[in-house]
Amino acid sequence: MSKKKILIVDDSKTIRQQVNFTLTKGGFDVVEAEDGKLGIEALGQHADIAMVISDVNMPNMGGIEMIEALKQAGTHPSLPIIMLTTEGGAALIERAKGAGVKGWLVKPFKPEQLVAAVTKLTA
Amino acid sequence: MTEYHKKLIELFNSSANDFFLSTGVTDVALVSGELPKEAVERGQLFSSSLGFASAKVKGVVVITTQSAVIDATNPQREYIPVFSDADRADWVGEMANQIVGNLKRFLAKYKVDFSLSTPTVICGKDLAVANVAKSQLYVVEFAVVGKKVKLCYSAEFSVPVDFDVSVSAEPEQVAGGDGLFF
Repeated sequence: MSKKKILIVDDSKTIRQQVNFTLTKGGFDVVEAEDGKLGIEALGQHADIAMVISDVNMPNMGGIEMIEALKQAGTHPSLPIIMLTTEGGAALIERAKGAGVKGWLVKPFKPEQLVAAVTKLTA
Repeated sequence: MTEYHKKLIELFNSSANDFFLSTGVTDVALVSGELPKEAVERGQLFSSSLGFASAKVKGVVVITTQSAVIDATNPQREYIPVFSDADRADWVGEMANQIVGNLKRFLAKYKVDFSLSTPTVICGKDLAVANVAKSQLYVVEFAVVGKKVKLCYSAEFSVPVDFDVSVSAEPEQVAGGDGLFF
């Protein structure tokens, strides 16, 4: 069975690599993007992306802006997306929920929690 | 220093302290309280600054430290034997991001919210932090894995933080390391 492909969108290379390592160990393939604009491009280039993990605060285009743009475009209506961020405020979480986000993890993340979330949401 | 300013400094210091401990290092200590305004270090250093702002507050946090601290706190240290300076520059930016993220959660208890900028990183020898803000610059030092970390905090509040606001209300913030699923 081919591995499920996960897109990580974060301007920190350290975080991208950490997520990549964690999910690769967990049996997934990983694609990386540095900001929301490049995340949208990656989704256009990889039709088999099964899930997105995204930071909130990034240059060029933030995570929630990316998700709202995807929602407006209607191109990935059932793609599961979770946020991985330092932010934890209720108002921002509500805005993300409204855009269709399925989960919210606050950094630093627990590897086993991330793998469990990805496994569940891509099942 | 007034009690109010001491409380603010405590929040900043707790933000940094909690971050260092969250990386798994246990050798973390606040070395000193407020230092003179000049914050000059010597040797090859990495520095990251991150601003934050809202209608209620404008501020910046600057972290300046050396390779040993950056490498000791980097979450990839278990599987990357040697870090490049590019790796270090990236991680020190994320360090500032997570420290200010902690500060945001602490201040939220007192009904102060703000947006974070993205971090700016500089690397080089003999870095100095100049205070060009109107507000006071607080400089503190931590010792992490026996090496110095200098943190500069500056924040200007349009209305002083009301530390008497009850913190027993239902928490509105998700803590670091936790998650929610909908």
